[in-house]
Amino acid sequence: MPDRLKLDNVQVQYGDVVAVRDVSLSLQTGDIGCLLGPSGCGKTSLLRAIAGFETITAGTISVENKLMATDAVNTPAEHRNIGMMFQDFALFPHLTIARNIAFGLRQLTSAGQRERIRDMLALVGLPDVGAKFPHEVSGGQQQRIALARALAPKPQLLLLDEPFSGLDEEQRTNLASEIRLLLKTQHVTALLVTHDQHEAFEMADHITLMNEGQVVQAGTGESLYQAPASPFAARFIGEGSLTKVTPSADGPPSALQLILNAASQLPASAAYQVLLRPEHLVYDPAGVPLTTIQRHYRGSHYLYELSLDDGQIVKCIAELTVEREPGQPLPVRLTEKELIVFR
Amino acid sequence: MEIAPASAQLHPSRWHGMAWRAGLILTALTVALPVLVIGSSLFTPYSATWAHILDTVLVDYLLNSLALMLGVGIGTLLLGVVTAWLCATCEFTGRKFLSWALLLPMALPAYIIAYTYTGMLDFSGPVQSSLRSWFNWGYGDYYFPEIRSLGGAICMLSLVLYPYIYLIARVAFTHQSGAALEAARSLGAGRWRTFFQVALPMARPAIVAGLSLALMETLADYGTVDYFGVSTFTTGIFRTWYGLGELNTAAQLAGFLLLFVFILMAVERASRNRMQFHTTSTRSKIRRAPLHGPSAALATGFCVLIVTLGFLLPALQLLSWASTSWRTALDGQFLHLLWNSLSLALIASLICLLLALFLGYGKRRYPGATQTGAVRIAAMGYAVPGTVIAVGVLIPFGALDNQLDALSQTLFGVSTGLLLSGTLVALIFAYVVRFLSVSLQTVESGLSRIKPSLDEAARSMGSSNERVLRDIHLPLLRGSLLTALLLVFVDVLKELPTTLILRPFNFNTLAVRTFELASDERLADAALPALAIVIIGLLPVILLMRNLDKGAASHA
Repeated sequence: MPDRLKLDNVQVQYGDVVAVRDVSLSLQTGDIGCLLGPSGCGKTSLLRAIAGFETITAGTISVENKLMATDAVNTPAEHRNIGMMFQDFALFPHLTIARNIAFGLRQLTSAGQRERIRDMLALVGLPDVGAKFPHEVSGGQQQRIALARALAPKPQLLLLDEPFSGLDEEQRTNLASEIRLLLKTQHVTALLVTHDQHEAFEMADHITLMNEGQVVQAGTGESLYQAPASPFAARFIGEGSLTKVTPSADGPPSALQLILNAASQLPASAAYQVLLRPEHLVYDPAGVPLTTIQRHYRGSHYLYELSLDDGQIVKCIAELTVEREPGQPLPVRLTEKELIVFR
Repeated sequence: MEIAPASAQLHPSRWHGMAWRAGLILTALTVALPVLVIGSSLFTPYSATWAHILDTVLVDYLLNSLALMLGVGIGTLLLGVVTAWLCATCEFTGRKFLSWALLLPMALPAYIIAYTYTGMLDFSGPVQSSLRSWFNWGYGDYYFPEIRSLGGAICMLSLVLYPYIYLIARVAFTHQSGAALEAARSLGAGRWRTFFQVALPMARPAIVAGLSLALMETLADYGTVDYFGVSTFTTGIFRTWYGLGELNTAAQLAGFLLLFVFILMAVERASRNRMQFHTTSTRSKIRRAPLHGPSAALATGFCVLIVTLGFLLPALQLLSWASTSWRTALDGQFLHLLWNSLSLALIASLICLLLALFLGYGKRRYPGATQTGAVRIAAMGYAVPGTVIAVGVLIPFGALDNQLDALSQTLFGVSTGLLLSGTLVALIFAYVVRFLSVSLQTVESGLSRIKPSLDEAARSMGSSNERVLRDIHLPLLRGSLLTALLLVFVDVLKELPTTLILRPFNFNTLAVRTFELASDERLADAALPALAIVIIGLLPVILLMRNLDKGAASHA
């Protein structure tokens, strides 16, 4: 079976600026992929190139083995059969919600259109809003309608551009899992763009992490979290601290070295960086004391920011019974033996 | 919106509030007086002349005014929407320069472009002369369209009024969510379907608002239609007053014209209200699609043609006339004209500014339905043709003069004559009625940008009211105040019918003199005052260009 979406060495350029460099990725039918990265990493440019709104300067984009774009060929967006959901939803303000959904259904008879509109509105759980105008419904509802509109023509691929950034925190996480379920039950192949790793974890089967126009790492959310392949991935995913370890001069070992003694297989002498995630350190009365910088209340636990001898900050999760004020020492112990190390 | 008065201040501020409110209502009523007079004249007895007017000219007035509106509507829509769409969404040679230059025709009052084209296109003008010499034609050998006709008036008005639509439609197209257009394409719609089913309907409220402004100007026009001999309501009002001497009948005609205007105002207001639903987020900027080859040449050519016809050609013609006539025209009389025009414009714009500040602050400090209503009534003048306002000023001022005269005769045995009507007071009052809305709009938009939280922040740091005004409001408002002053200044300078009707005997302005000389077919002599009007008229256009540019930069 061919890949639903296949990118080979895609490059997008604006004048002299290379926004996307050498990106290859593929998406199987029914998969939900995600382009994750900080703003300006080229993920949106790439998504727009797939949709047909940007031309590519090198490489190929194909959908179901059909070539959509190369440096010479560019199928217009309206002929790609790729649905897109926009960041600001882009509902047409002058059309009712039903007519918004019908916009992409010109090939159907009007009876067929009505049926599809009804099905799509039922699918997104808003069966009764068809006669309303977009500004008459809430932001969360607008988003579902945008989804219904994009899915109505049964696109081969659905693109979602920062689909949750227009909504407030609370709506976000609910909608993300809801939409994932909907896409999965409808067997929709989708590619999502976001800068929010939690959205990526919630929605996607495969995450492609991008930085400065290039793919940094690709894989499942778990593999990105547990095995970041670069310092960038380590810093971007999760709340860990990349902590510098310098070979000890003579004299007593530093607090960091005392903590790291519990780890296995650390490099012997040369300077390196080690990834310490908050859950890697726990409170232990018999542990190595570090100075409390700040305490963050997180409801079920505290997150402490602690200072090492040399001023580097590490984070540590502690139960609510462990209370320290800034300046007070908090003794900690390492729980994870296999640490991620970058030389 | 507004700061609630602290409880300790309740009593004094209640008195203040009442004083402000009374002041606002009084101002609004005074400004509304001419319109009220005209409106109520419709309910006064109709003189015998009406039977005559009904039989002879009224149908002409009506049909010509309607045909003019229809023609100018189509013309301005075509020119305005196409240029706006090209400049907002396409990239072609000279787009940046042209999107400015397309505003230039705004500097030309319609009556000036009308007489300039007449000079260029008449039998002895450069166009026909060259045609004859190229093709060896003689008189009567060829057909040449008559510019002094209804069709000609439609062309002239369309050429100078399309910027109203261009300006507002361009902003609408530029701020249209690019995502909406892309969404249409990702749903399978091609370029044309995207334009007609998404872009155009989304911009429709803006376009309709621009169109109704252009049509209001069309209804208000007197100079062009009179010069071209097209009988419309405005020329009819003039004829009834000057020809027949029937002021009340003129007022009644003006009342009917006012009905037209109110319909347009209602349309414009409704469209503006709908605009807020039709502006989507500006997060996704529209991307200009580069045009290539013939389509790019066509786009550049079209815009260049319009700028040439609407500004360059007439301006060059005026320059060439002025270059031959300036030695004789630039005399003491011209300087006197200039002085009259400038001082009148300055006084009127200063009064407008002060009133606008008073109304704007009143509404801001003591918000309420009455105050909002008062301000809205005061701002009605922009839609009312100058002819209507002039007649509406003549009637009450004349009545007041008669009362004063009678009073003084009985008390002192002295006749005061005409104290108000026929003086500059009446003229300036009419200008204020007509143009207060211009300064009010500018001042209000300036004030709306000063968030109440700024006042509160300054007050919480111990600033007095006066210091808030001096150190916070004044610096923030300065630009708006200057703009308000400039816009009214130029509008007054260009205003023709109001001045013609209300000016004191033998008092001339640039606009009046231009019109008189042109009407006497002394086209070359009219060029110098006309050119002065155009050059001063360029100032607000330049201001507009700069603002557009700034807007574009902040949205980039």
